[in-house]
Amino acid sequence: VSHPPLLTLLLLCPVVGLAAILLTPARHPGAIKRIAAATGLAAAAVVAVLWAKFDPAAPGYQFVEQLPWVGSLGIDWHNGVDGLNLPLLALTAIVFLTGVLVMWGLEERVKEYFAFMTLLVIGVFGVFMTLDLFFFVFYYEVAVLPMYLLIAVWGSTRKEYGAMKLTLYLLVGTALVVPAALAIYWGAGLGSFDLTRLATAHYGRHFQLLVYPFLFVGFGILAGMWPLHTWSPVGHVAAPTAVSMLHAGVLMKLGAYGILRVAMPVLPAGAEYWAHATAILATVNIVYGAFVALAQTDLKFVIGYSSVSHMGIVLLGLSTLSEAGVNGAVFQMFSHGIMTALFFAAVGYIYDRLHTRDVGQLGGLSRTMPVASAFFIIAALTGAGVPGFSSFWAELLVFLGALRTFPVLAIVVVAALSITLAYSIRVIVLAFFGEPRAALPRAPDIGLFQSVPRAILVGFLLLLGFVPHLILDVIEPATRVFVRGLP
Amino acid sequence: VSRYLALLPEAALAVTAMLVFAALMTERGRTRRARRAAYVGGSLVLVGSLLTIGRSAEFFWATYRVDTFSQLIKAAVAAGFLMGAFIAREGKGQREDVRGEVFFFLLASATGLVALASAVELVSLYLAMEIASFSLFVLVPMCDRCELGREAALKFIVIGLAASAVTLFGLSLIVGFTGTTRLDEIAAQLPGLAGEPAVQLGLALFLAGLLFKLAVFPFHFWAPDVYQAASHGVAAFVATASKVGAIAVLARLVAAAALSGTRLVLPLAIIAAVSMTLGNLVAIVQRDVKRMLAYSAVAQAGYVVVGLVAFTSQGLAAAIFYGLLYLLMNAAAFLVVARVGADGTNPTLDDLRGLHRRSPLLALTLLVALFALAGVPPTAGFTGKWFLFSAAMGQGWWLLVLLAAVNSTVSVYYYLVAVKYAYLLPDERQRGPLPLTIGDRALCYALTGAVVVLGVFPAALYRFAERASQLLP
Repeated sequence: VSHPPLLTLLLLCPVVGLAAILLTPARHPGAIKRIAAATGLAAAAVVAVLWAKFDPAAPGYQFVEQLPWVGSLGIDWHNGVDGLNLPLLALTAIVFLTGVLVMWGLEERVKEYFAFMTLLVIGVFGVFMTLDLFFFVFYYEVAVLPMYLLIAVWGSTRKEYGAMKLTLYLLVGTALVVPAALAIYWGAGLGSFDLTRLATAHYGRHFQLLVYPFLFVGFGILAGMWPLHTWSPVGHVAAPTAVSMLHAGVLMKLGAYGILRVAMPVLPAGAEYWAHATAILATVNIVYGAFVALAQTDLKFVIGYSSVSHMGIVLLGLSTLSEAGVNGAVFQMFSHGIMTALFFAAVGYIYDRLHTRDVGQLGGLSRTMPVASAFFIIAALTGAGVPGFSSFWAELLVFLGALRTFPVLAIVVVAALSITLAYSIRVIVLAFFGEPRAALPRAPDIGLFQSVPRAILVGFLLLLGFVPHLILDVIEPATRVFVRGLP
Repeated sequence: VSRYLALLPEAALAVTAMLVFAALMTERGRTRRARRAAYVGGSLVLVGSLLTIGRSAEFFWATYRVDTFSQLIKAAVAAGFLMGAFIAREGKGQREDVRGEVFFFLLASATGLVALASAVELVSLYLAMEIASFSLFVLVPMCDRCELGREAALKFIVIGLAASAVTLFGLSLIVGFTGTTRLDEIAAQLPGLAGEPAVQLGLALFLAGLLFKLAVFPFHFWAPDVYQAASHGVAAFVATASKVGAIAVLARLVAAAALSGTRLVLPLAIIAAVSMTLGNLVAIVQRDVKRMLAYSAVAQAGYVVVGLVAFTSQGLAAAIFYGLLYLLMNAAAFLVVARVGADGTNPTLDDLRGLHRRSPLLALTLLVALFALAGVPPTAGFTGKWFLFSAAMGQGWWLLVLLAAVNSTVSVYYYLVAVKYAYLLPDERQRGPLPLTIGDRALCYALTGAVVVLGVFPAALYRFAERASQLLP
């Protein structure tokens, strides 16, 4: 156990927050919101300490805590950080904190809302820090189930349908992951769920080829992998603003992270064998998601499908098994998380005030609410991969990796970027430029307080757009080790 | 003398049963006295078995063994009994004239289950099983839903007696071939006799009788009717204490019979698969919450059998562990059922509407209980299932594990539908808040707390389950 156990402390932030929220009577919504914000701040502070103390040059995991949990079964309380999950922990803290602030105006069932949201965050932090396969799946499901209630109770547009569809899809994913995880455990014969040890165990080639698809598809569902992505746009559209932010921003990364942390290092031969297939799937994701986004009229559907497309870039980066590709994938996870959170935060404000998200009914928003529009447009530009924003570097790295391994696919993907640009510009022009619609209700522009969380997100996009090495310096050394473990 | 201290739970039970019997002889306040005596007795058994958990001793010509396994099961049975008695305390849904008798028969059934946990000889095992069952046969028709009650009771008795007959016939074959009724001697002889068709038939028939108690397909037909017709307290007892008892005997038999490698393994695996699938699929269409829980119990029994087909001590430990957790989850679910249907009627899904407003605590209890049954972390349901499935995977049952995992997903659907009614759908009838007594509240907190804590910190209880499993048969 490292001194002090920073990772356990980080996990305890939302745990304590949840307990405090549960103990606060529901008639004090203000206090509950303050507790949630304090939880977010505390978690962000711990992550900041982690980031500051993290030494990119040091090999292996840092801040490692390990103690036996269920000794006879080889389950450990085992947490650790390297360059692959540190950015994701930071992402979670950022999106959680800004998500709480964005939902400050919530009036309906405040206590339950923040309780479920905090529970979800416990799961997300847990997945990103644990190095034990049992706890990985454990946290993974902790993060999934609160989504149902968060969407079904506080959502909009077909919320019950969206919530149930999302939950069942994701649980089908875990139904594939659980047997695969147990197979890995027994296949390794170490009697341990320790991921670092499982990664060094020897598995037969056939075993790897057989089990890898279970993990890839199981985790891939949460990453929005085509053709099992349909839950994602529907769920995003139905979810309330902060849940969409957390969901698209953080939760979908859990799927990609599962592939990165469990599937690939444990079953490298499987990853290599299936790399072509997964790269093709990822390319379909990118191209298909972009085309469908082009045809959407609901702003949230546009973002939902753009997420499908962008998560395809992450999957493609992973499929290249190359340093550049994996670097780009991790960077893209972070960048896309911030960007989508900003997207949903911007649309959430517009929808709350104007009660529509239909680009056909919106128009000229840049004149009536310039600041809110600016946030959306910045997110859209980031999504389109415009230089100056962080996604540019992430996508560039993935394409560089892909060009070397899958040149044909890479060219298709680069061509598809024009579609991405097209749907971004289409939405911006239709909804934000042109003449303001008379039919729309008059609404004030976004206030200073509500600008803060969104401005934080913009800050990160710009910062990493201009100084990408801030994050790449953290990711790169870990990726180098990671890729060395692959065939 | 100190040896006999190990019989503390049994002694407590015998005294309580007599006290309740005496209380029932009196005229006024008989129900109240019987209830109090039942509480005291149940608590004594619980405390007694926990206090004697480290002891090991044999009694009555070594037909009755006290060890960690037996005391763990006895404590669980006592907890289930207390739960049933607590829920049955107001006697709602029970025929007026027999409200006191309910406690006596619950106590009698608990006596059978307690004896069952310690019986290591076939005849005493059989007797204990019958004591446990016959009291339940009487309890089911004591509800005030006459038509339903009679039909359910008849089904229960007829199927139950048939199961008993089958068990006895299987038992006779086993005894005939091995020449002994003691489990340890049988266990020693069975490997040599494994090829004998008659022995396999005997084991299969004996097993069938036990699977009836656990309500595993194809012996589950009584369960939905009994759950639906019986009063909440009795149903809670059947769903908790009785199930743990059944799991205990099954574990004993599986450990004794050394079934691995015999022809019984595949049928058992198939039974587990069908039980899970059927239970979950049929549960989806249920509107009556108790009937839904009954079908879910059929599915849950299937999960337990998944762990048992591993035929390893890890599988046994996982099954025992899961049985104990299952008791807690079901107790929580039935507590909610009993409070929502406080007038003794069975709540339907529609009756759950608006529960989050009428009683946030009950809604939370229901949420945790159902998530636990569905196997969702951080509840103990996830951890328990993980251990069960892991044991099966260890023996190469990957297809069974995959099916079980898919089944868990299916089950989430109907559990979520119930959660949806409780948390989401508005209550058109605008019913007022649901009053809870201090006892109800305390139980809600205790059960939800236990279900979550055991999910995150399983090690201590699992160690007990492991130690218990190593002592079998």
